[in-house]
Amino acid sequence: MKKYLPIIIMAVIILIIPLSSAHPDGLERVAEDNGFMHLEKNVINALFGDYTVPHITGPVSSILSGIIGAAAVYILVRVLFDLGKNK
Amino acid sequence: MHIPDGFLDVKTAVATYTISAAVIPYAMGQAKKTMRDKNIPFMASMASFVFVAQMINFPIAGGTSGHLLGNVLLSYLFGPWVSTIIMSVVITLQALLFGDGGITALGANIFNMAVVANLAGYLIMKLFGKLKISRNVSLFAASWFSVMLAALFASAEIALSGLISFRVAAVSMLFWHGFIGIGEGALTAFITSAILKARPKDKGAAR
Repeated sequence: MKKYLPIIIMAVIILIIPLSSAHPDGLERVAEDNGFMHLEKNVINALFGDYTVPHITGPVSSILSGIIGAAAVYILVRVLFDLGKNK
Repeated sequence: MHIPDGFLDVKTAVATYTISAAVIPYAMGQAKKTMRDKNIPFMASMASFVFVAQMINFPIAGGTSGHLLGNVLLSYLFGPWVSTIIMSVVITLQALLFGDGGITALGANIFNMAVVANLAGYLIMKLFGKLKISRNVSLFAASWFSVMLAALFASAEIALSGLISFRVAAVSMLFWHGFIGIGEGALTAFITSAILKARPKDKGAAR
């Protein structure tokens, strides 16, 4: 059981992603209050923009984007540090 | 506080890119020296955890939200340089894959949230450790200050870019992030304690 605990915790956190608050974050709030939020633009069109997966709607989309991001981060960090191993 | 494209002017974007580009190779070198190789899978798992945790915005006062950054959590477990590298990877992938934080602002976002927040949190942990202040209080305070320092630098970059005065930027950024930092502090103390309970050997490189 203890062995699977980290996986269970990650699964629970990923499942509550759709409950994330949609309110502006601190910086967005400051930008709105001071009238420069409209300056925001997208220089690139990110594949999973706004943490959604293309062609998938609803809460599943953000959950999937969380899984994709978690996997991408894991792989990149693992590879980077494996390359830097001391042995 | 991921800065999007469009907020920073060229000089501020270039300056922060330059600083981040200089710090990352140094951090990587230091991380190699200080990391324990057998911890690499755990480091990658915690990086995933921080990414997912950053997706969950918690509401704070007045219709505003915030999310965990995770610097103090990572630097307490793995030391400040491993933490800087992990945070930089997270912020870079957020910008490239998810459009969270601008490509032109990537240097600034890494500087604020992977370098400034990280070093501030680490140094405060160290200081509080020397003063023999309890672990949870130290984690809370270091996390709070790490968010406030990052917010202060973000304010400076916004002001340098000519959007609003530094005074207005700093007052409003610090006001909101004072609340967000409470979330950061509570989450960091809670998560770190839970991890140390499950893995008592990960005492924390920061102490």
